[in-house]
Amino acid sequence: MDKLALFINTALFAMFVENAIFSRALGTSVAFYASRKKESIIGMGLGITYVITVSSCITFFIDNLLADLPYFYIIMPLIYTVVVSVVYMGSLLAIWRFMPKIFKSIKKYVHLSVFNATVLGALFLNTVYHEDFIAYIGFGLGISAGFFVALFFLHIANERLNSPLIPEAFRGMPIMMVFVGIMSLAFYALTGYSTNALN
Amino acid sequence: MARSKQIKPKKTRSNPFKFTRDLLDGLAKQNVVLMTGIVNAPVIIAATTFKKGVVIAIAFALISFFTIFTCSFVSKRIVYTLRVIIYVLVGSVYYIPTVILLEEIFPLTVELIGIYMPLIITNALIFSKTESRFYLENRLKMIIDVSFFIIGFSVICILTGAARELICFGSIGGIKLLDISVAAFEAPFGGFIMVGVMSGLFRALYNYLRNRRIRMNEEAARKQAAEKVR
Repeated sequence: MDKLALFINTALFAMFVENAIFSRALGTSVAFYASRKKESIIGMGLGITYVITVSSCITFFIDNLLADLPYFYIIMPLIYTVVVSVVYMGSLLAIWRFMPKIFKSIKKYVHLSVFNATVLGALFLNTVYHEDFIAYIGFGLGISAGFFVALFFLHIANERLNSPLIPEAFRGMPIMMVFVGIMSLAFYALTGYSTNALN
Repeated sequence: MARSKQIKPKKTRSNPFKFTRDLLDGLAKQNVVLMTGIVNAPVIIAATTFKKGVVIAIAFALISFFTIFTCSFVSKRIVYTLRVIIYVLVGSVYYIPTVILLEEIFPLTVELIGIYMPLIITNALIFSKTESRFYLENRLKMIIDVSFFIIGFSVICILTGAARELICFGSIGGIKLLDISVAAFEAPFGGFIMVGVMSGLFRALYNYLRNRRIRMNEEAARKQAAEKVR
């Protein structure tokens, strides 16, 4: 029961408090790109969820093995990119072998959902925050779910924010940034405030 | 009727190098932060002071330049789906000496930047711009082009850091200049809103200057034509 509570707690924390886009700006450009079409939201979201969750499981054991090394934080990105690359290669080979049609349709963009700041950022944050295997998986799933949620918000906003009512120079990326900033402010409130500071 | 074989255009950017045009591409027209927005996480979250902006700019410059240059030797016969692995691995190898060097010079700042320092290895300049632009050019042109893109990022990163430090603490580089303190601009939402507004204003200025240049050129052409008629 404690493990389940830890899992849910960590997942919710990752989804709302440490939201990949609104709190950490991880993979913002990929999110802007993917939010244009509904199909890419689902494809990108599933891809990121799979890679983060599987890589989190592997990095948990690596962290336990190597965390005591004095310069682990310097070689950590190299180790994590090797892990992500192995997951990416293994998955691609499996899809190519067993689902060739899907492989054909995703091979052009699949790297976008693997080698981006969201995946590596989630792995780094996992190492910084957690020590438990369940927490690693919970955080990985939560941050992916948070990315999914953010993509949907961006998709909804995308249509409205490209209206002629927006000044031409602000249409597209600038107004999306301002929108993400306002959403980020709303998510920031989830970390909580103490009214003592006002007294 | 036999269908004639379609000839695909050769995919290169072999047009003659124009210093001003290519300089403007990296610095302004395709600025990676303000115009295309493909590299923005370190600027939005980590560049909250002038010093942090400088450290991120140096790290970005060293990692991106050497990774792009080294990976330009990777054979294009390898499919991009696999080549991308080499790019990210080369980037993470270059991260090691970069972070050691920066820790010697700015030990505390590197620690404060945190996870945004290693995340530079996955920037879109390495993954996207290489394939769509840099690797279609000859090597000398590529080096100059990459340098201008990096300068474009660095200038905006340092300026954003300085502006946020001024708004948040009333100082730049630790030197107190104003008696104001709007600490909210240090938070992610402050970064998003600031970069968004900066981007909009930059685009407006760029469009205004471009339109003015086009108008002036048209007027000059009209005058020339009128003189010829006379």
